[in-house]
Amino acid sequence: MAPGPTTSVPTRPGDVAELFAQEHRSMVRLAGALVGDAEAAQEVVQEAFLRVHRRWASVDEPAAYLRVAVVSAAKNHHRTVSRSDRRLLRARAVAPTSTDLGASDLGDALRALPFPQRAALALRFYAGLPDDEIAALLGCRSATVRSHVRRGLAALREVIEP
Amino acid sequence: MTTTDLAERLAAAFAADADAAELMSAQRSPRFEADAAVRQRRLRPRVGMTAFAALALVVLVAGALVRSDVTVRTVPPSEGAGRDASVDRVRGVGEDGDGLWPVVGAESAFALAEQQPGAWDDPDVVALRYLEDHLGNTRVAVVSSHSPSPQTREVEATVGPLDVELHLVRYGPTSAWTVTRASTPVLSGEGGGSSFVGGRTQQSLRFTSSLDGELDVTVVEQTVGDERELATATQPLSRAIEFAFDLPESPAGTHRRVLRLRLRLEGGHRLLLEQVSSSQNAGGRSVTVKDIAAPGASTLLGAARAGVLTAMEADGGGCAFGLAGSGAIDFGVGQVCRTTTGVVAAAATWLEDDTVVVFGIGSAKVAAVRITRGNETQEVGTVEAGLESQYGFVALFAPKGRTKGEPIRIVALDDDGSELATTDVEVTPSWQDEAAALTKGVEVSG
Repeated sequence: MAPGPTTSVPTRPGDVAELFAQEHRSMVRLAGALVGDAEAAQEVVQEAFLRVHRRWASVDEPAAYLRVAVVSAAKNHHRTVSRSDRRLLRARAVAPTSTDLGASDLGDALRALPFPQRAALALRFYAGLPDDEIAALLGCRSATVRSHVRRGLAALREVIEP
Repeated sequence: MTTTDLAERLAAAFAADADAAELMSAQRSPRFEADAAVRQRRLRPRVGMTAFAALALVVLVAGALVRSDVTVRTVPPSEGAGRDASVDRVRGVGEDGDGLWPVVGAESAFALAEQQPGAWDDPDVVALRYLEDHLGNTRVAVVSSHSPSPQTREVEATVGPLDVELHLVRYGPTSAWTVTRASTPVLSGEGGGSSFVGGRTQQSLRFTSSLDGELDVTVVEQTVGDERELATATQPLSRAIEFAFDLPESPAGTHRRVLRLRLRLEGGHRLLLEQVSSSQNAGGRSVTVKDIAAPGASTLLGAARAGVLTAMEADGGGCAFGLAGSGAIDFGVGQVCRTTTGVVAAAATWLEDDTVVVFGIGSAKVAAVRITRGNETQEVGTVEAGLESQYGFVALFAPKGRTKGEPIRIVALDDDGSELATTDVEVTPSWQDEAAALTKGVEVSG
C-alpha cells in the first residue's frame, strides 16, 4: 500500500519564550494588518503573548491560541479607539478628494471599517485564510464572514468609486 | 474597479501595515523574557487598578483575619512598577506553608515576576496574584520562579464572608444552576413544576447539596428602581431540599423575578467558589455562564449578583459587563470613572428596550449614582453592599424616549451628595457588535 500523505503535526513549544521566538514576527505582521497601526500592533501582540503566558499550562495548541488571542486583542484595541477618532476617520473616508485612492487613503478607509469587516478582509486578502478559519478566529459563522467581506468591500467601493 | 483589483490593493495595504509593524518590532529587538520596556509601559495604565486591587485585598483579607487563614502585614510601598499600593506584602499561613508574598495586581504579576525575579524576601516566590471569584471570595495564587517557565501554584485561601448570595434573573420552570467548589458541585438546584392556577404561579424549587448549613431562598420581583419580596423560606442544607412557592402571576412589562439564594455554612467550612453556573432553558436555549473572563477585559472590576452580572475593565479604560438572562447572554460596554479615593466606580450601559444599566463597583464612598441626560437628572440606585463584600450595585434607568446615541452623564455621589467622579457615557447603538468578542468567554450549549 502506498503511504498516505504526510501529515505535519505541529510540535508544542517548550515555553513561551520559544513560542515567542517562533511566532512573534508573524504575529506582529498579522496584528499590523488587523489594526493598521505599528505601535498598536506591538501592544496587541504583547497582550496576546501575556494571555498565552497566563494560560500556558492549560493551552493545548499555543500557536493556535496565540493567533486567536491576537485577533481578540486587535478587536479590543479597535474598541478602545475613541469614537471621535473613528468618526473622524469615517469622515475622511467618505469625503475623498480624489478618486485615485492611494495606499494611505485606503488605509484610512480600512481603519474606518467596523472591526469584523476589517478583520475579515485582512484575514482573507492578507493572511489568505479560508472562511472557516476566519470564522473560527472571529467567533462567528462562515456565512457571517462572507457577509463581513461583502459589506467591507462594498464600503470601500463607496470610497473608491463614489 | 474589479473585485480582483480591489483585492490586490487591499493585500498591498495590509502588507504595508504589516511591514511597518514588523519594522518597528525589529527596531525594538523584542524578547519575551526581557521585554521590560514594553511591559513597563503596559503597566502604567494599570497603576490605579493595582491600587484598587490591593485595597480590595486588604479589606478582604481583613475580613478573614477572624478565621486566621491569612494574616496581612502592611509595609510602605516600595519602588517598582505597579507597586504603589498601600499594602504590598501578605503573609500567608495555610496549607501550603507560610511565606511573605508581595501583592500585585493580577495583570501585572507575571510582568513583575519577570522583571524582578528573586527580588522578594522569598526567592522562590516572585509574585502573588489574587483572583476574585464571582462571589467575592479570593483565590491566592503564587507565581514561582522555580522553573524556566514560571509556574503557578495555587494556594487556596478563603477570605471574605462565607455567606453567598446568588441572584438569578428570570428563573423559569426549567431553570437550573450549580455552584461548584474546585470543579465539584456543592450546590445545585432547579426550578420545576411551574403551573398556573387561578392567576397564580405554583413554583417549586429543588436543590441538592454536599454542604452543611442553611439555605435561604427569596423570590423578589423587581421593577425599575424598586423590588418587593414575594416569598422567602429557609431550610437546612441536605442532599435533597425542596421549596414550593405560591406566587402571584408576574405582570408583563418591566417586572422581572429574581431568585436570591443565601448559603449559610456551618463553621469550619472553607468554601472556594471557583465557578458559578446558571443555566436557563428559556426559549429552548441553554446558557451556561462559566467564567466571564472576556478577551480584552483584562481586569475584573467586580462581580455583582454572581452568575448574572460581572463587570470588567478592558484595556484603555473601557468597561464591559455581562448579563445572563432569558436564555441569552447580553453584554454592554461603557466607561469607567474613578473616584478621588482610588475606589473605582464603573458605569456601563446596556440597552434593551432603551434601558440603561449602571454598574458600580462596591465602595463605601459611593452612595449613589446620578444620571443626567440633557436637562433631565435622575438619581439611580444606592450602594447595596460595601467593599467588604465586593459586590457592586446595579441601577436601572429607563429614560423616556429613545436614548441610543445620546450622551449620558453619570455622577458617583458620596454620602453627603458631593460628587466623587463623573463620566460621560455614550449609549452606543452598536453594542451588539462591541459585545461579539466577549462571547468567547462564555460557554453556550444546547
